[in-house]
Amino acid sequence: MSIASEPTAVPRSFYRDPAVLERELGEVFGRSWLFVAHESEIPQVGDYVTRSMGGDPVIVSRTQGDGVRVMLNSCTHRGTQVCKVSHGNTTTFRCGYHGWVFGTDGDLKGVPGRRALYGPDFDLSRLGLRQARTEVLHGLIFATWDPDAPDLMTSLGEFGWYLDAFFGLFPGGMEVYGGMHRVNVRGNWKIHAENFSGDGYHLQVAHRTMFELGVMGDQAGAVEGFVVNDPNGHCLRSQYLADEGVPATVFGYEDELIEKALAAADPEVRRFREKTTVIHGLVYPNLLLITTAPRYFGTDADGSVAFTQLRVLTPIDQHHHEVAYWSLVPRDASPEWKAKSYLYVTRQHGAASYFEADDLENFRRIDAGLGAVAGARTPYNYELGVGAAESGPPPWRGPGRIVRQDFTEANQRTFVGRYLEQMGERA
Amino acid sequence: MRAEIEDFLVHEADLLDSGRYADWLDLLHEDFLYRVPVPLAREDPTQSPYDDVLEFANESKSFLEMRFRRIASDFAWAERPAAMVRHFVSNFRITPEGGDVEAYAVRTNVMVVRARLPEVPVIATAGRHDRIVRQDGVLLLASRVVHLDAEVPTESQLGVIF
Repeated sequence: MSIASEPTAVPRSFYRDPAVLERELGEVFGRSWLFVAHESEIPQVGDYVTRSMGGDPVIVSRTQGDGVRVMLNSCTHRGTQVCKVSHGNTTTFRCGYHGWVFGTDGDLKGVPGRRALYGPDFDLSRLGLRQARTEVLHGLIFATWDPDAPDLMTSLGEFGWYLDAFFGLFPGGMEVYGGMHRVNVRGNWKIHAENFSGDGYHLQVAHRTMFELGVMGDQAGAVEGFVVNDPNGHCLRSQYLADEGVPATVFGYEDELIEKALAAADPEVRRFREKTTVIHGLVYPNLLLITTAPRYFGTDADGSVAFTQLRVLTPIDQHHHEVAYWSLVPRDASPEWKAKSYLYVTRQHGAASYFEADDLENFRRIDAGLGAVAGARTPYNYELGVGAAESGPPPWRGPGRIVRQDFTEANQRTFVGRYLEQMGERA
Repeated sequence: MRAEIEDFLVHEADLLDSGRYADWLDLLHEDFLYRVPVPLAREDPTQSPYDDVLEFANESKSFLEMRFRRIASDFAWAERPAAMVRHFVSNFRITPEGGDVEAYAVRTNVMVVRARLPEVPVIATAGRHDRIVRQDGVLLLASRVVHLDAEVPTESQLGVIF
């Protein structure tokens, strides 16, 4: 697939039509690898969290033998949710309707009155909770309902290198700080996904007040940005301080921790991570990631500390989606640094933060502007960067399609291109 | 004392509702902290449903000053047009701390209606746990913890200072 063949105009029906939502739950969410949880959220046997895979509620649990299971949170008898809370530890899931009992591995352990009511030949093994295929990468648990989907690494394509660079930098790995929380917002989920995939163009307008307040710090200076994408729909944008004399490090971490990490890192990974002001992106279709180090958030948050946030977007209907937020920290960082990182992510990219408010406001206004008849005749435009010059080479040599432009919709074209391909709208 | 504290909190809500943010900041102690812990459903009903670590908001006085400086900007998109906000504060429960400093633990219920015209208004309800201290003869709000009644709020509900 060449960039030129990717769409530069997308009809609004893909953001408005309820039939499109039904199709994408099957064709996109039903066939892709979806991020559901991080291993550090369920460290002990019996730990579980409840999540969504598109329209399907799932339980993610740690089973005996250190396995991770992802299974439909719905009884195989009459479909009742067998787990109603967000997280916990258990040995069984008991359905509250007729009392069918499932193990943390999803196996059906028993049904009340089994012999008398179902007969001696009733086979429990046929009726375990429906299991999703599960793979783990850098502690990130992915699952898919598609038995024919290529394995996770194949699905990630050349983007796997960037996930290694993003999540694998610290030898001790990363862990979730606190857990996950969710917010319901207005707007089609794909608008949010496109924004994170690589919209450098909106920063100076949508987030202008953050520059005015001095929060963005170095990002207001001389920066160079690049975007990377993979035909499987995965995208990323990274922005570098361009001035000579900028220290070759990743900003915002404790000295000893980052020096150790960089000393052990692959040289190209180092060049990819060092001197960045922000890296953000999208693991197709609905996992968003960002890491940055904001400068100032009040007298009690005056310094530079890095944070890493993950988000998962789940459509509620064509006009609303749920955002799940996680904060990731290096496992070997100090407790004080972890708490500070969480404070900064809450103040910059938390659901109630005003940085977030600017984006959510735009998603609302896009939804409010969808229109009907005339709207349907006015497709969204994705031409940014098509006829524009490219800059010099980026500091790293990595795989994927690297576009030497900061203000470009190359990634949005990649995202909607892959989306339309999955939806059967393109060859 | 009860009447004075009730008057203080009703006045405080009025300042928020009428957008007099500088006057509202004057009611805050220098070490004021505003926290909204995340509510999470738990299996055990005897456990608190409010998480110890996760929070929707953690805002100091200086951070709130930034928030209001931002609102004054023409580019605060989420504040243009400004929302109509109305607090309803009730169920006052006032407990003197009894220490050397004159201080009170004050619990209230709050319902906030927020409307960004022309959208339909949204309602959010919460329990508030305030600490109110007397300093140089005047009452100041020293901290506020907001216990939201929704595990998955909307962004409109989170746009409120409770």
